[in-house]
Amino acid sequence: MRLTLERRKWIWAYLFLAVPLIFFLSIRIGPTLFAFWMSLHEWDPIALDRPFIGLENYREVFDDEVFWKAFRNTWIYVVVGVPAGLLFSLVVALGLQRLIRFVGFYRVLYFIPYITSLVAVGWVWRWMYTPNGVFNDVLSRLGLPQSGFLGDPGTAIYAIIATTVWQGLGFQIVIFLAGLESIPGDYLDAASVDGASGWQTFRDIVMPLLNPTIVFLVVTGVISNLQVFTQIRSMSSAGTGGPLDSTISVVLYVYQAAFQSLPSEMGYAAAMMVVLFVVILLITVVQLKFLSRGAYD
Amino acid sequence: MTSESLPHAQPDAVMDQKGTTRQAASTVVQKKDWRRPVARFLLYLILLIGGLGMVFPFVWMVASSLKDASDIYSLSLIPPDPTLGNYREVLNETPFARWFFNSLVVALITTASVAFFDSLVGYVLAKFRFPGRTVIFLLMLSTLMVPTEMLVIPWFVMSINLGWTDSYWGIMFPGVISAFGIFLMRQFFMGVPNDLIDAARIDGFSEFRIFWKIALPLVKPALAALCIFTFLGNWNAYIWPLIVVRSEEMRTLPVGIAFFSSEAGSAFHLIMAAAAMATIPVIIVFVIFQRQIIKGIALTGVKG
Amino acid sequence: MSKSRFKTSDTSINRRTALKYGAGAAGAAALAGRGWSAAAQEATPAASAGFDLSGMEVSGDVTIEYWQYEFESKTTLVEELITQFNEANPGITVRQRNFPYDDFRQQVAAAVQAGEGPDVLNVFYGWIPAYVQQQFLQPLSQDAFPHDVIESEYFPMVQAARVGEEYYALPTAVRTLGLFVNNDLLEAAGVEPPTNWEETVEVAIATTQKDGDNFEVVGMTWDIGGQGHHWWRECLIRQNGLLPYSEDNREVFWSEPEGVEAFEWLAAFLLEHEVTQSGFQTDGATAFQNGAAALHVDGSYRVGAYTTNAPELNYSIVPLPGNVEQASFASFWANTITRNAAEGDKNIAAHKFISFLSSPDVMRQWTPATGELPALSALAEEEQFTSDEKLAPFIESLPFSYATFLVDEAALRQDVIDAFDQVILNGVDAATAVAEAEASTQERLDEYWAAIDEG
Repeated sequence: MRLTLERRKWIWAYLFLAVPLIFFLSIRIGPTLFAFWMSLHEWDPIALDRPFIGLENYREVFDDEVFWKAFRNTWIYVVVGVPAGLLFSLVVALGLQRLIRFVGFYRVLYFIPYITSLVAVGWVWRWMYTPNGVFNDVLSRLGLPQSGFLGDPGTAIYAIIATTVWQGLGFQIVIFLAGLESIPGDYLDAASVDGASGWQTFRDIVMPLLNPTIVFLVVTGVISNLQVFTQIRSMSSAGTGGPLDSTISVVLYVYQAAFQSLPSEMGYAAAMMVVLFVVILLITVVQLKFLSRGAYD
Repeated sequence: MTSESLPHAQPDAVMDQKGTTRQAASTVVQKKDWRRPVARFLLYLILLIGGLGMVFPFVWMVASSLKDASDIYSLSLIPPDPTLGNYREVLNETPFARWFFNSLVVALITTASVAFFDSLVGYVLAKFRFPGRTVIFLLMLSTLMVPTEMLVIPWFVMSINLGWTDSYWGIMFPGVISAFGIFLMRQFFMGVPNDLIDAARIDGFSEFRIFWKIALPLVKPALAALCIFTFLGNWNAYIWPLIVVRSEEMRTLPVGIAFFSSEAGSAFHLIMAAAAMATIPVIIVFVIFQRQIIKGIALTGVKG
Repeated sequence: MSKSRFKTSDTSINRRTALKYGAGAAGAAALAGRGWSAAAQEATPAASAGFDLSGMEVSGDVTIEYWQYEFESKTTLVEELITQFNEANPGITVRQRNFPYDDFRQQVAAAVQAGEGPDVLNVFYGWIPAYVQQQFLQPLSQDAFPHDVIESEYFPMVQAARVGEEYYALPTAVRTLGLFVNNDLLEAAGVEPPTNWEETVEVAIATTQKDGDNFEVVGMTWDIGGQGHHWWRECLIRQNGLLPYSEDNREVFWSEPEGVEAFEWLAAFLLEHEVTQSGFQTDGATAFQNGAAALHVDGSYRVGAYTTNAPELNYSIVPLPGNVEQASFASFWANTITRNAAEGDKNIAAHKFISFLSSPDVMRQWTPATGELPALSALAEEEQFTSDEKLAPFIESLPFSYATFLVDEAALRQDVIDAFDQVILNGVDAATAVAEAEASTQERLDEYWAAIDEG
């Protein structure tokens, strides 16, 4: 009996996917289900009893003002941080791509924030934001009023977003460059033969061909901004998402519940994580549907 | 809007750009030849200024690493009394070389594994049609949506039961395949023309060979980017290595560096020196792989 | 909707497991906050020789794991102490493991969930009640460590390690808060170190230096998230003649006029006298280290960091300036036995190691190395410590130092931080902010005691 070409391809696909699937099921999905299991309990890793309490943790999550504050903040991280990062990185990538000399040098310049140690980054930026720091110095030279930056509940979250955008640029630029460089030169040649202007070429040829890259950056950008944690812990006042919870994110709150609260509220933390997970999953599916229509199915 | 919205106004000028086709993606107005060097100069200048802003914290880090502990907060970029003492202290008082080696082993092996598996899976998800494809893709993608903080405890329980603690494998195992890279590679493989793959099938290439010899070379820029980020991600990984490592000898660099901080504050002079040294391999990896991102342009032979 | 940092439901396990420890915890808590009485000072003329554990012997070779957060001078010293301990107890091997302070609970949680973890764990005193509720800690044997000896020879704050009828921990050393004073700045301003509230304000005003709106020197550091919350909660309130908590630690009294006044006195440095700034040079300890702050409240362990990082800083330390009373905040890290060493040789080895770590010999090595004060009251009187001008003010503060009863350290700290932020950033009046903080802390206490009382 001969398999059809179609069936043979199925078998190959499953064969290639076998090891990775086993990996994901055991290393990622399994522990995630375990976290879901924890969320149904009064779970404390240190205690001996971990009573089952059903959906009680979820009920409390929906009642928790700080959680919703963290949830709103998390949206701000996403809604401000993702577009800002994409815009800056696209502009810089287009610029870098036009360079002919010192290409490597310039790329390294823009990539360096991404590889600078997080401890160093947090430390230097905190200094730059202090009342006597570089930024306030510039403001006062321009005759503008000083800002409290990290100390002011109105600006602290944006001060942290500026850092995360700055730090993520190197990553996004490299991905954009990879996307731009993958655009077959013939397309561009053909466009210029047709007499298209720079803007037209960009809009009609570069952008559509860049779509998979943009989808990737939007989706991963949203996912990583929804999980922002380290920068808040190292930069916000007292490291707890202050002042007055103005910078706290869901993941930071989850971390506090699981590992800083005593006794540990691991079950409650897991419930918050599950809520966040469901939200991210929904957003991602919607994004994939809308952003990559056609390519997706 | 200026003349770039007038498509047919300057055909000659556009034609002039044929030699450097990549410029077609630009929005810079190019009316006359004399403007081009000026525009180019401005571009170099603006990107340089922006770039200096980008590296400022890095430069500060390096400058601080050359300052004595008591000068660390003198906020000048030029160390008043430059010294290599911090570097010496880090190298002499900690098994820094060993930590460096550990990080290198972990990052290199993980990168190789991720590069292979992620491109293979990304390719299959982009170019094969089979039942369950979307579900499998979303399943893998969904693993990105759970913060590491929530997974470390189950991983640790697993490591204890399987005897993986305090070993390279223990540090590496959660990262040897990454959904992030699968997603990246899938996106880029989607741009590879199906005709090429079908043609290779007709020529009798095995499925694996088509992937390896035909498709993979076409997405080299993405693969290079993936290698850079995987190396970097594992080089900097902290939360999990901290938990799974027990002995001082098995620490990775970020874990080792964290020990310079304590309840009574952080030894920033040592942290900066150690962090500066930790940056070197990443810059090397970046310089090597970013060339591959340029070479991607060689695939102009692809016909749609 | 309710404001929450992890309020547990009524089904809380903690409540149920806590039953066993029931009534006793109340007693311990009541004792925990009591000051150093004169009687305690007279109790022992010379340092006790320590505890007699000769009746406890391990039956064969045994290895125990000792976990301690990273604090370089402590970890280095403990390595050396382990060698000394091993010479005296050849059958017992101790392995030390360290991890960064910030990751303490994550490390412990992961290990315990996996069925591993330390046999002897060094914990902050404020975590003991919770760990006991979780049945994580083993009581110390009363034969080995008789309560009357602990209570007569150690500083009374050590009673915070007692839950119910049992002691769960013994420290090597204790800490108090003092006022760090930059001598050069005070001299330049022609003022003396302050001894009361009024002088503190005067000195802070006199030493502040500004260039236009920019501070060059702050008269007083501003760091509520650092030691500031302890300073108000346990020191300023008491200094103003109010007990912050009821004797049994069930009720919070901050919103009494004296408490609000103390709060306003502290907030006035920033709001009224304008001698300090939030976020100045990132944090208070750093500003003081850089010579950019005249006064700074901190613990003795900071001295070591300054000796290394700022050898030329000319500073001295005085006890916290009082008002109608004197008061300082006391705290300590203490060694506990976990349920991993619940019985057998491990338990015996753990007892022996803790006894060793709390011995006068070790304390005499510990204090010079770490800047923490000996936990045995007689030892703190020894001349080698009282003649140290940096240590003496902290030792002097011991008689009026109190260990706050902490049910959830991080959350209680957040309550105080939020109260100050409300006043400073949102213009809320002090009485309202203090009342809110009191209500929030009271709720956490109620929850804790409800769990205890349920039995």
